[in-house]
Amino acid sequence: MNKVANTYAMEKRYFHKDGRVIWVLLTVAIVWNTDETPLYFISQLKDITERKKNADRLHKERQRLNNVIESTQIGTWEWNIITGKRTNDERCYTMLGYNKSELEPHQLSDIYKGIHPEDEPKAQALMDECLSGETDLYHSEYRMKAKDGSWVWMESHGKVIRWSEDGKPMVMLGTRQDITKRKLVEVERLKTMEIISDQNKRLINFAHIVSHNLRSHAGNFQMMLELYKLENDEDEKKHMIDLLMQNAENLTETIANLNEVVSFQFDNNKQTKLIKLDEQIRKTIVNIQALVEQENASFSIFVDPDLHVNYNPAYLESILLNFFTNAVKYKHPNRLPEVIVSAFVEDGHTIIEIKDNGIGIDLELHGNKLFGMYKTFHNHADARGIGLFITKNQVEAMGGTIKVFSEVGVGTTFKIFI
Amino acid sequence: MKTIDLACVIDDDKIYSFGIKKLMSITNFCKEVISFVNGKEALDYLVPLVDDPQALPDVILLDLNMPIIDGWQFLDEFVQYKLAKEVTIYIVSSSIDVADYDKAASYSVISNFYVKPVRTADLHEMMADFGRN
Repeated sequence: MNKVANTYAMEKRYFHKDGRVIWVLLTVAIVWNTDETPLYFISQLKDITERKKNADRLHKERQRLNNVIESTQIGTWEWNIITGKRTNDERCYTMLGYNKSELEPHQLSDIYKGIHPEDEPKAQALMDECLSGETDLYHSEYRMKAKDGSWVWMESHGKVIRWSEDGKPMVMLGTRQDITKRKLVEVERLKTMEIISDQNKRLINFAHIVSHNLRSHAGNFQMMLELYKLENDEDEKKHMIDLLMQNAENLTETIANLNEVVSFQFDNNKQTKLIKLDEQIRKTIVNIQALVEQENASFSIFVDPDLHVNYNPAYLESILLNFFTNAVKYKHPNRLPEVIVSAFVEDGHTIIEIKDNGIGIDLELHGNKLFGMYKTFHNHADARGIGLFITKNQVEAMGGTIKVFSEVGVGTTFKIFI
Repeated sequence: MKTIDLACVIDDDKIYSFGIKKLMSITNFCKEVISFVNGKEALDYLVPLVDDPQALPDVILLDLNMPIIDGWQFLDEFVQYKLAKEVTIYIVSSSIDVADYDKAASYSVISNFYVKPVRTADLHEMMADFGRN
């Protein structure tokens, strides 16, 4: 009436004749007289109860969906493949430690480019499969960089919801979830599995060694005694007795070796002590002084005198002794043994490196047997084939690993990851 | 019946090698025996002779667990060559590991697998086997 508006519309409730409440859209238009005074209204009433109910249902449905999404802590995203526009909901950002409102538009899309380089190719391949229609649903797991620089494991699901007439993907929808906790548990479980299967492998290997080594001596006794019974020549008989005695000695030694292996394989007493590495290295070299002098070997030590390791002292001594002895024993025939011992800290792990200029090992040929029991690779009289086996087991019992690099005729480098 | 002229023993166990040679002479297993203490020594000797049917052994008794080059590595290398005559190869090992038996079964060049100690009867079986082929 004040001429502010010519029409108005509103939704309001009326009582129906039968007592129900109905929703009505009331549209009113005013008709003016020529002298600009209002003449009359034209009102239109429309029953919009159904529409109202639907809208209400839709609203409730949306609320329910939001609650579900909220309760699962899932982020949702939409990607218009044609325009390239990506719409991520708030949670997609909070997962990574960002607040959506504090970000500039260009940052919003940049954040989601931060997939871990190791995971990117696989995630891309899975996405390509989905975009080409090869797979119906996209599902991939990858790490993303959070605001604080840490990596967050994400699980992403998606589906192309609109295709062009010529079969090109147009719009994709999906969800994203932080699965870091689950991933960490998974990694832990894999590690445990590895330890168990490794122990199992060692046990089988050990059982195999026991049976094989005892059997070969038993077989020799049996064979020689049978031959002895058939033999008439006294000299030959005497020779056979010598061989039988030698066999008995070998058997005794085998049992002693096996005992040595058993004593640490099933030894739970892995008490550690803080040990000065440099001091221990020098002490070990003194222990093998006789061998060092006999072979004219030289040791160069590059170890920080203040470097300490927390280790079982008996193991460390045995490990160093074994590597040092090997480095001298398997020397190159044309040169004097030179051994370089160094230690350094890398990613929080102490690494001891023992580099020799000896005959080297053909790793392609022997690599898989190098640390096996009773495996020897050189025609060396002293080779027992037990040292590296024990050493490896000791290092692994303390949670470390050994890496080996070698070139035949040049030398060998052992790296012990403490 | 074909008889074995030259037998070859590849084994690092010196007591066994002495015994098997003794057993071979008692059973008249072959005319002559050569022996090597590991796969490498055997290859060094045999490889230059692959074209010479006279020098190649008729039968090889091969141990599995040996230093430097073991029985499996010997086989992998030896089968690469085209031999001037057929060489019958037997595995003679202390191994009672099923994995070794299965692996042996996968090598067509291996005629049989004997578990130590080898008995007279085993050698007779090898001889009969060789005579038939």
